[in-house]
Amino acid sequence: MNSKENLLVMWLVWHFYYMPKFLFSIWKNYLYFSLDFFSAPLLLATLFSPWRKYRWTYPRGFSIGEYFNTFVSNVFSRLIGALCRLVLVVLGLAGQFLVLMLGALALVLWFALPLIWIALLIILIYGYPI
Amino acid sequence: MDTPFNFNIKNTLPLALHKQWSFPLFKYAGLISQLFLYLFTASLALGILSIFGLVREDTAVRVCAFLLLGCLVFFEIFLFVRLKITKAETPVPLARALANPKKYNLAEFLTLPVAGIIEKTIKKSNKKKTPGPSSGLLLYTLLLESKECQVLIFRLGLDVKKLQAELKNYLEKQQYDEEFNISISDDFKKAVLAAANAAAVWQGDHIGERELFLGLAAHDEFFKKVLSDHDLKLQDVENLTAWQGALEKKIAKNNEVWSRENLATLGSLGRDFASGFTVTLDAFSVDWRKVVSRDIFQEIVGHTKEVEEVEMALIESHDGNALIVGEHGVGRKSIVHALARRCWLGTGVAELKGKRVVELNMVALVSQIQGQEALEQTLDQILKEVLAAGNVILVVDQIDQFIGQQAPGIAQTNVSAMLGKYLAMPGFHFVGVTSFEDLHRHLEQNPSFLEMFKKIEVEEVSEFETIIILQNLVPALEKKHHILITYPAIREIINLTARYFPSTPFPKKAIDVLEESAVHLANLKDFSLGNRQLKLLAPTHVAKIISEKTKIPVGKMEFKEKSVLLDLENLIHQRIVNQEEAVKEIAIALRRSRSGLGSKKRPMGVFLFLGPTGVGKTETAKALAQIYFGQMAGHIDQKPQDQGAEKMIRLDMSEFQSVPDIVRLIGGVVPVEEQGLLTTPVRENPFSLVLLDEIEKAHPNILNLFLQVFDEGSITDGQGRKVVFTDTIIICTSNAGAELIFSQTEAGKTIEKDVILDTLFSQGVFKPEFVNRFDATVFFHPLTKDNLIDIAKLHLLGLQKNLKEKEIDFTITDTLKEKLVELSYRPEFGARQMRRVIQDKLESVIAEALLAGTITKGDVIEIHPDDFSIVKNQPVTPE
Repeated sequence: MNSKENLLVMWLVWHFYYMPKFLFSIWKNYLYFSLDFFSAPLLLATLFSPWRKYRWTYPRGFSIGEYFNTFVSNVFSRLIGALCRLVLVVLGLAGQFLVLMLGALALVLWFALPLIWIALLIILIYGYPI
Repeated sequence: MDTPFNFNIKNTLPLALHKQWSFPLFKYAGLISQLFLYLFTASLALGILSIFGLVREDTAVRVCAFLLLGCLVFFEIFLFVRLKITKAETPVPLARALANPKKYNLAEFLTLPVAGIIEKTIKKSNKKKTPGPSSGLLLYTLLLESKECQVLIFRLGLDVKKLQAELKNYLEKQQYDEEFNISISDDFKKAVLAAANAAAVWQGDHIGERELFLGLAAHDEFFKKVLSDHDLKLQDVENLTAWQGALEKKIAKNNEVWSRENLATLGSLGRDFASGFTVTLDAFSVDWRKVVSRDIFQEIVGHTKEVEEVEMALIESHDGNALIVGEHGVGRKSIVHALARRCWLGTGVAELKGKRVVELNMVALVSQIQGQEALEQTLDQILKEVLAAGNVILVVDQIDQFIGQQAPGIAQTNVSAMLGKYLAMPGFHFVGVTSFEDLHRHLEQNPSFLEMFKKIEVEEVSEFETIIILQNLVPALEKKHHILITYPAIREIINLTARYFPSTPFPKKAIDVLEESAVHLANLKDFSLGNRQLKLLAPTHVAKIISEKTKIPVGKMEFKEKSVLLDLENLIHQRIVNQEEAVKEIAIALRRSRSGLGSKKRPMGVFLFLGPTGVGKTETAKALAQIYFGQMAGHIDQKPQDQGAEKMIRLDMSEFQSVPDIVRLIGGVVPVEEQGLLTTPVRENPFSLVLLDEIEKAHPNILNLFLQVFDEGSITDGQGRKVVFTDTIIICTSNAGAELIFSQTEAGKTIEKDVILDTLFSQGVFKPEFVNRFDATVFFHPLTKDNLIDIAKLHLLGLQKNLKEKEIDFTITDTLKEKLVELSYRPEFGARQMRRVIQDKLESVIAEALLAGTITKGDVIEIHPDDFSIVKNQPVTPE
């Protein structure tokens, strides 16, 4: 096999094996990154924790009014926390979905690249509409 | 060459790929693809125009299709060349090929640029009709073609163009020399083999330009000579090429935006949502996370073990607190920096991932909060916030300053009690930083507090690690000051700081000197720059900075110093009469030391002067101090004439006749801090002469102190600091044995040194182990009348010089000199009687005449030897 044939084989192996493998690893990195960046698992695990651990301590003694006050404040703190975290969780899921779609698209486009060249060549030769 | 050498570049894959890669369409594929992209983007406008019927739709589509096709095709070629061609895999690992040289062609392991360079070398060799390519020709081609190697040459402090020109001359001369023909290709083989071995050691599978450069540095005769002429060793080239390689790998890694490490540097948006606010803490602290995120690519060198220990300490279920202990300047803060980095990137232990490393600024806290109660409340609030937040690692530097009752500003607040309450709680992570001295002095007084920490001792980094640290700092310094820092300058910094700053640890002393040198060079007006834009930081600049800091002439000897050293005997004899042996011994010791042959640990010279009083022992030491130390200090911008006194540390050892006097000599801290009369001046002025008069009168225990100084060249002073004597000359004087010297001289014998020393040992004046440590024991002879005449002349010349300043000429006659000798000759008093006679008979008379106005400016005077009267304008003839 001469060097020209060698180069062609090298290109084919690279285009259809090594590059997709590489693109897959990049895709994986970005998937991990988007999960970590929005911290979705952590936020889900602490969804109903008080917002920034802001809680009121219950008073000593027995005062129904104050007890109720504290209870409501703590519930609000948790609700605010849950809301803020949910926003980020949703953003995270959206980001994850986007990365998933874009990654899949990139892979598909890469495999289809030779076909795209052929299509463009045909359009170049025969014009549009063909 | 014993090792078989299988190397044939023809028909190898690297050469074939290089030829294809060199084709412009492949070489500039990236640029062409970008151009097509811009044109395609512009061509989309055609599509819009075609909607309005201004351009035919078919034309618009074809143009767009063409440009898009071009963009995609060239982008594919660019990626293929960049990711595959230039990183083509080798048939087997290089190490295996080297183990089976006959089976594997080494030329298959070349990188594409190196394949091209070797091909060009072979072509040039064929053109010149030499038997085979030489290592010199390979070096020449490498320097012409490889930008990387040109940078390496620059970093070595060499001139690339000059080197190329010299190499060209060398090669042209070489090809006419028949006897070199046989060895030419042998050097080439050795160089390539060395390059292959270097590549295998660096765990690469390709022989690149750097490896070839290193191989040539090891085996090309011309290059070896060039390196040797510039004081460069092969190890320096190795370190430099390794540095360059590491730098390139780092840059390449940083450019991989898709890698997990690089993506991790972007941090996290929602992690803090799971932890609490720390409002009060934030007002009095520095969040290391912000520092780290700004400087994310600056890796910490060394202390990996210590950082891991800190992490392990922090994740313990109880007492998860760490105490970092080390000397100032070893890099304790860099451990905190590394910890913050690992928490930020998540590269450390999983339990600490995402934690904030926050350093509490106690000084700001104490200064801003007035009142003890408010301070305690604020501190308590801060600690509560840290515990509640759950994601904070609190760091306090110099923790010892705030423990116990001695801290200023919080004198009544016992921080240890307050802190101790929280330290015991699980979930509270604390890191304290202190030094060994402060640990022993303050923290160990509070063992219950100390128990809550795991102590992590930080050792000094090695010289090799310090070189890497300095190399990491180089790019930022070069950018800031617009200079280029050569590798020899870095190596010189390490060598000189190790020698002249023994009590300061690495890397601080090296970093300080590097920064000072860079600033000094940036401010230097360099008229020799010519067309060159950047100033080069060379070893000479470093030596200058160190000389200024230590007041010791370091680095290569300058012409002035060389001439002083070579003529030292004559210079000293201008002040000292007789005593040739003593002067010669001192001069020899100094020449030996400054030429680098003397021991680097011991003092420059240690001498014992024995002899009667007034014969010139102390005067010799003073003359040396003024002539050598004073003049050498003059080369670092100080006045030479005034330096003699400052450069001599004189101690009368008769003042140290009891053991408690040791404290006066080396200093102490109890009951009050006292500086040592010996150690402090030497510490402040290490390049000086130490004169210990009447050494025999000192207490024997004090003499024992000097045993260490004479042998090891250092001593620990009362403050615990190491005082180094390697740049001092120590002269001890003594009148012991004077009677014996007199008796031997009067009997007409030469001085029998062994007899005198044995007598002194038997009398217990000196111990043999003490005298044994001197470089030389020098005996001073009693002065003869002829000696005294010369001494009289010296004194009279001094008087003449003083009168000349008043524009009065003083004529010195021989009769006057003889008269002075006649009046002052007492062998037991030496030359001191002469001094007294001159003062009484001459100086007093002249002083009275000057005050009375008897002699004025312009007068020419003589002194009548009979009655010491002043004679004006007439020569006196004896009756």
